[in-house]
Amino acid sequence: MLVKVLSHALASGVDYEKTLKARRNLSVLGIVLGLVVLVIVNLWKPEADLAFADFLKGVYTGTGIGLMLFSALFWVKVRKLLKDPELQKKTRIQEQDERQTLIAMKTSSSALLILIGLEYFALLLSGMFNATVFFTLLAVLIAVLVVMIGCKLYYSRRI
Amino acid sequence: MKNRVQELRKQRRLSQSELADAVEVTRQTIISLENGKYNASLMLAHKIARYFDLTIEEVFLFEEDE
Repeated sequence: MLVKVLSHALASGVDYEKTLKARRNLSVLGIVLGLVVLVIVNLWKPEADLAFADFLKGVYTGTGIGLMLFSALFWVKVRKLLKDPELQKKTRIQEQDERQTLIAMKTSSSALLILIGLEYFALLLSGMFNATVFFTLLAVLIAVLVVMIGCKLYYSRRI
Repeated sequence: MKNRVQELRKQRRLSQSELADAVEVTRQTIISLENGKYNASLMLAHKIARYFDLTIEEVFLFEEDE
């Protein structure tokens, strides 16, 4: 359901309206999550010897604020779409356009393959300098491959 | 795959936007179709043919080696 809501797998105008309402609810969740992240960051007392703790706090704070802001703007956008049938139809066409969908699929696929290649190159290079980085990159690479295989199996059965 | 979308659209004095709205795709898709850069899916081909009140084969010209 979440995948369908976030993706472009929509059949009709009625489906699209249901999806918009689900997205509106998700955006409220996003605002709440952003708030939770901010609360946790403020309560977090990092270890004294944790390097770049201030930088990390900044990253987490930015994440929380970003999530809240993005979710709030998204909520406003979805509310506007729900009130305006013409704009809703125009947006639905933009989202469901088959050429745009094909472009998005090809982009994702190409980007993934390029990133896997670059990551493998970085993995080989990092092995000469830092074991932690090497094993982190290796773990990420294995995770990406496992997820790819999982997705392929899932869609092979589904489609 | 060649098609007669541009020819049929102009015969009916339609803009690309109007045709795009009628078959529920973006104007860029119609442009790409007319330029031959993009091949319509079966669903879209059917919608376009139905809009022009023709068969798919009368709008989209399949070549033997495709």
